[in-house]
Order: sequence, then structure tokens, then C-alpha cells
Amino acid sequence: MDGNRGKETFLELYGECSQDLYRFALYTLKNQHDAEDAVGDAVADAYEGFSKLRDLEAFRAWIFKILSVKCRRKLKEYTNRTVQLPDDLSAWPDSVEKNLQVRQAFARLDEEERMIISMHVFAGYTSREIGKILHRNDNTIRSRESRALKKMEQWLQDEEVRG
Amino acid sequence: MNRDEWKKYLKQTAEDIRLPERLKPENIERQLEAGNDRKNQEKEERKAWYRSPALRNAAAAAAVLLILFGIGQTGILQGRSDMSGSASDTSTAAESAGTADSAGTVETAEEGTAEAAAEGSAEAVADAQDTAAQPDDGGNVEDYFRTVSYDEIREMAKQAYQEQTENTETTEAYDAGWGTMDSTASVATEAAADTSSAGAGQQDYSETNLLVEGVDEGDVVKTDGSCIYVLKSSQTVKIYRAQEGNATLLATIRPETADAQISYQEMYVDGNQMILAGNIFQSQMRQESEDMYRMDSATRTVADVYDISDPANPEFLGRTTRDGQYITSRKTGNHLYIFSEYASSLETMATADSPDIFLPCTQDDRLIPPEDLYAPSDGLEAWDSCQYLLMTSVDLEKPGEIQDQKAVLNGGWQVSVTLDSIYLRYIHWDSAETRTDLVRFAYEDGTFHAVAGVTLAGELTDEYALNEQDGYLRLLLSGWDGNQQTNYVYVLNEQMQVTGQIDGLAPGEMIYSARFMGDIGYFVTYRNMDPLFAVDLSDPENPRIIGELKVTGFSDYLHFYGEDQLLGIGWETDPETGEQKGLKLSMFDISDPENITEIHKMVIEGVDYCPALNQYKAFLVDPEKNVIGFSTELYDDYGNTTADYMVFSYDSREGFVQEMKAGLPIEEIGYSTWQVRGLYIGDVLYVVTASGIRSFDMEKGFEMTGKIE
Repeated sequence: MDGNRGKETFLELYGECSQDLYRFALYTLKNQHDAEDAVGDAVADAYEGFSKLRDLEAFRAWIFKILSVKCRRKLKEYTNRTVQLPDDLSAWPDSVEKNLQVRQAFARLDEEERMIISMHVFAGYTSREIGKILHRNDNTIRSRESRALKKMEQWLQDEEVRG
Repeated sequence: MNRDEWKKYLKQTAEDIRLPERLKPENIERQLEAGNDRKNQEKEERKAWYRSPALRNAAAAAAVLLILFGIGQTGILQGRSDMSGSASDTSTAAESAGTADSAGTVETAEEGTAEAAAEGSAEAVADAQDTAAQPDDGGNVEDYFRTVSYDEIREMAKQAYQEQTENTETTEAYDAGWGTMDSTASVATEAAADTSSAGAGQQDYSETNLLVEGVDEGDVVKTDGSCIYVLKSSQTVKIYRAQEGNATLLATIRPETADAQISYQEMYVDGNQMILAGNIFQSQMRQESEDMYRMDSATRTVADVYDISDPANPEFLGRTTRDGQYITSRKTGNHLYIFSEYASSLETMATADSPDIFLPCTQDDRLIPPEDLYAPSDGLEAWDSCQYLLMTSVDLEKPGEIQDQKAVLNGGWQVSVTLDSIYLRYIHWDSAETRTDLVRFAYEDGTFHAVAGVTLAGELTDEYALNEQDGYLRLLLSGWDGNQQTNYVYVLNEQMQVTGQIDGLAPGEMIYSARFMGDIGYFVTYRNMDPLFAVDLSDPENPRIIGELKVTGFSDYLHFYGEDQLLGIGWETDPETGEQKGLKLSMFDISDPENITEIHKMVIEGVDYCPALNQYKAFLVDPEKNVIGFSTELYDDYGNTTADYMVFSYDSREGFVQEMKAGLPIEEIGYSTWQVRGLYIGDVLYVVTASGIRSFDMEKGFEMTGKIE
């Protein structure tokens, strides 16, 4: 890699998607520490392999892929854990009430559902791309996502009713 | 709201999430540079494993530093220099640590447990710093972790924190874990009446699908052959009597919450005791000085024990609490083992003015004693996550007391428990190669002692891929070796030294499922085709692959089924496109592990998802009863889901036979996180969801006989 020039370009490209990378990890993992670690490690890996990336336009998709691998590995670790308190406020500091409720509803989804939605919303992957990464049909991906969104809708409505 | 609106909405709700300082590009830059400078093996290994001064020296150093925290030196020194000292010192130390006298609890750990930690192997262990990026050879736990005094650990954090703050422009407080609570109401400690189990059913019944036979695990549904216990929600348990093919409600338990919020996660039922384990969120005002108050709120882990000799009237026996969030638990014999994770941060640890702010406590503010506190032998580093894994034991005859405890810093541990050992696993992410740190604690009758540690290449991708037998640990790991995915077989002795291994197995693939039977391990790797491997582990120094069978699709779950047969449950896929074609049941003949054959298979179309493949406890697989049960889901193009509970049996001539497919209303399972469990008592199958129980007559074609909420 070309010494400093490569680094500047890398940091610039990283800067453009840093917010989304972190949000993706945080929504998927529901844990601030783990999300930070995941992004930090993904960035380190991406930096190491940056010279091999030929098409800078693909940077975003590429670094998201690295990050989603990190997140999936971490989620695999979680599967033997039981569900965390959905209102574990330490995961969502400084939140606006309404946003907090949505995030709490999101946190109640299972790991794969969170993964799928995060990949769509924050990483911008299509259902087909997500399907390839998770070894599923893109139809299954769409359906799982629909069902997850429906669940969230129901939960949020229940919250409203409860007042 | 349609999908696109939803996605916009979600994105919006994320807008107020700030990027942490550490991840801002200007700080990332420093981190990348620092990372470059430290690319040598020393940095790689430093984070994990180091040589340490002998414990003897540490004891002397500890004595001086302890003055600051006013801890009874006698107690600590005794515990240290007298390696086999009894842990009565523990309570002395904790009580004199400046916290309120706790009501009545006494640590009763057996003595002699520290011996194992002290002796260890005298053989030289390969210097972790020299072993490049290779897994090391394992050995004494002190080479990796050592017990530390409160002040030592604070110094470690201070140094690391300084390093960290020098590397960033601004510092931001991480979430601090508030560790202490004032004494809460004392807990009833009546010993459980030693009555014979009133719940003893004469009929056969199914039990929770476990990882290790003999090591019980908590679950959301349990049965003792006479009653069915359901953790309906995080705050409610329902107890049903199962009789004549029907379930009737006996009792409902709702914990008294007072000023706390409980979230039960799992349950145990054994004999006349029921145990509920989970999280409790507590807030308390603490007086710091005359006019200074502080609001402490914390999530702690709780274990409540009930007497269920009369299941219609469960009686609360006792509660134990310990800091941190619930991770998992196990039960063997009459002891319960709870694992929780307590998070602090470098900043908190470096700046706190008393140890109770950053160290985990058990019960009524009992600080974890230094001899039970383990930190990395070579200290902490900038950005270390500072999570403590806390393991605590409860003697079920004294359900209100914690018998023994250990805390291990530094975080993100996964726990595996065998009949003799507790293994803590930590996956390394900071290098191109996947590596796992493994620490072994021996446990027995409620006492823990640290034994040894090792770093291995790869990670555990299936919990069944860890197996202990005759003093050896067998592991099947998958990992990235810098170039590609590859797989490893390891055999380790009790000192966590690698006695035999196989590298570079099935490159390009990952382990999806595994199961061990005696000296043979079976495992499945997959990318396009599913090779089922058999590895011979009879010689710990020379594990050998002896069999390999390639079939389409892959098994995500393996279960021995009768004499010489292995059941695989997974997916059938198109070998060219990887497209998922259906759920697949396979039966393999393993009478000759060197020549494994697939004798029968059944592909079930119309199944998109099988939750049990992500949660082994959701499988009902009982070879003696010849029943295989699990729930499935199918999605249509309009986002609608149908769910079913399916049951199969296996006949050596006919193959798999579908015995039942019962629809489950999606509303019932949709909102609960644990979905479905199937169990049988006698000849009745019960399908349990958070909404209710359906019963089916196994003798009459699985006809539905009842339903109850």
C-alpha cells in the first residue's frame, strides 16, 4: 500500500460509513462494548487488506462484509446465552424516549432477525446478498424480515396501549 | 407501515446514536498506527497469555498494597501463603472490607482446592512470546491469569487507562458497572425438607436435551413425569398436573418484585426443588456522606429456590444474588452453578476510590475476595473491555447462601461445563487468525479451583464439539488461518497441554455439528457438500481421521440414535447453487466408523426455518421412545408465516416416518422468545408454547386430546 496516501484514503472512506458501521453492530449485537470491539476489529482487518481492494466504490459493501462476519461470530457466541433484559438501558445511552422504545422492540427479535434487518437498513444489502451470506433463500430472508417487522409493530402497539 | 417505511423509521431511530470516541476516524488513525507498531508477536500474545511471577512473590507484594483499602491483611495473607488454607479467611476478608456486616451467610468452601492451583505442572511451558502466531502448549493457570489484590488490579487498570487516554483526543466514560447494593432483606434459609419427591411419576418421560449427560441445564419448560413447569414469561411460572392425557393448571408463581424488576431466564426441576434463575434490576439510594446521595442501579443475577413437594403450593426457600447479568448455569448433584458477567471499565477501575465500585460482589455486598479474583498475569491494556466472569455455587441444601465463587477478568467469556471441569472460552478478534483462549477450572461439590490455560487456533462453532473423557479434553475448532477457513482437532490433558492435534482439516469449510461417542468423534463440515467425518481419539497423542462420507446438504445437529446409528438434522441443498431445498433428516450407520453410510434420508419440503437448529434444548430426540420432535416455520411471499410441530419416528427398514404435523397459531409463538418445546410423559406428547399446552395421544396417531392456557 502506498504509505500515507493509502491511509488517508482509507480513513476518508471509513469516515463516510463509520456511523452506519457502528449502528449496524450495535443493533445487531445489542451490546455497546461488543459493538465497539467488532467495528474496531473490522476496521483493523479492512486496513490490512485495503491494498487488495481494487474498486474503491465497493469499499462500503466490502467493509460491511467484514463487519458482518465479526458480528455473526459474536452472535454465535451468544446463542448459548439466554435472552438479555430487553430494557437493559446500558446498551442505549442518551436516548430519546420514542427511539428507545423502537430499539427495545428491536432488541427482542432473535439474532438472525436482527442481523437481517441491520444488514438491510444500515449496510444496504439486498435480500439476495443477505441470503448468500446467511445461506438462505432470498425469499426466506424477505419473509423473515416481514415477520420480524410485524412483531415489532405489535410490540410497539402494545406499549402504546399500556401507556 | 410497509417494509420500506419501517426501514426508514428504524434508520431514523438510530440517528441519535453517537459514534463512540474510539471509533472516530481521527482516533482510529492512532489505533491503526499503534496496531502497526505492535504487530510483532509480543503484542499478539501479550493480550492473552504471559508468564507471571510465582504466587509466593505476589503474596508478599499484596500485603503492602492492601493497606489502602483497609482490608484485613491477616485474612488475605493466610489465604495466599497457606495454599491449602480453608476459605474461612474469605469471609474475614470480605467483612473487614468496610461493608456492612452481612446477615448470617458463611462461605463454606472446602479446603485443599488451592492445592491444584499451586502445584500445576513443573514442565516448562513454551514461552508464549516465542510461539509466533501458533497456539501455545498450555500449562499452569498462573502463566495466564493470577490472583490479584484489589490494589494491584486497580494499578493495572490505571496503567492501561493512561495508555488509552494518551491515544485518543478525548476520553469518554464507558458504561460503568455499579457493583454494590446495601444489604437487602435477609432471605429465608430453611433447608429443603428431605422428603421423597412427590412428583415422582411412574411413567417414563422426556428430559431437557443436554450437552453433557449428568450436567443439568436450565430451560423454559421442565417436567418430572407428573407435572409440567412452564416459564411463561420472565415473571411468571405456571405449574400443570399432567394426568390421563391432559394438563390442568395447579399453580402460578409470580415473584414479589417490590422495588426490583425480575426477569427469569431459565428453570430447573429436580426432586422436590424448583430453581428459577435470571436477572434482577435493582435501584437503590446510597448515602455517600451527610448530604450526598448516589443512585445505584444494577442488574444482578438471581437464583430462587422453591420447594415443590406439593406442586400446587410451591414454597419459597431461598435466594442468592450475585453481580452481573445472567449468562448460563448448570446443576450437578445437589449443587447449582451460576455464571454471570459483570461489566466495569478501565476508567471506572482506574479512578474509583473504593473497590466496591468496580469489583463484583455476591449476596449482601460481599466483595469477591482477592484469592478468588483472577486478572491477566501481564496486566491490562488500553481498550480492554473489563468484564468479569463471575462463577458462584450454591449448595441446594442451603439455598440462601453462596458457597464458593471465582471472578475472572477480562471479558467476553463463553462457558462450557463437563462433569469435572468448567472451561472458559474467549475468542480473539484482534488478529487475522481466529484464536481461542481456554481456561480450565476444576469443580466438585460446589468448590472451584483454577487449573490451567491454553491458546488454540480456531473457535468453537458448535457447543457439542467440546467433549471431556477420561481426563482428556477433545475439541473440534474452526477458524480463519489468515487465508481461508480451516478446521482443527485438539486433544488436551488436564493441564491444558496439547497432546495431539490435526491441522488443516477440510479447508474452506466450517464445522456445523459434532457429537462424541467414547473414543470416536463425529462432525460435519460444510460449504457445498457435507462431509461427515469420524475421528479416532483413542490415542491422545495421535488423533486420526478414520472415516469420511460426503452427502448433499449438511447436518446442523447430530444425535446418536440406537445402536450404531447417528441421526443428522439439517438442510438439503443444491450442490451447484447452494440453494436450500428443504429440511433433511439423515440416519447414518456408524457400526464401522471407517465406512460410514447414509442408510436413510427424508427431505421435508415446505420448511424454511427450524428454530431448534439454533437452540439444541428445543429438540425432543429420544431414541428409546423413538420420537424426534421439533417445530418448523414456513414463509410465503406475502410475509405470512405458518408454524408446525412435527414428530418423526425411525424404522430400520422403512426409514423415517412422519407421525405428526400439528399447526401452531403463529400468534402464540410469534412474540415469545423461546417459542416451542415438546415433551412426553408416558404415551402423551405435550407441545408447550408460552401461550399454552396441547396434548396428543402417541398411541392413537397423535390425535390431539387437549389444550390449556
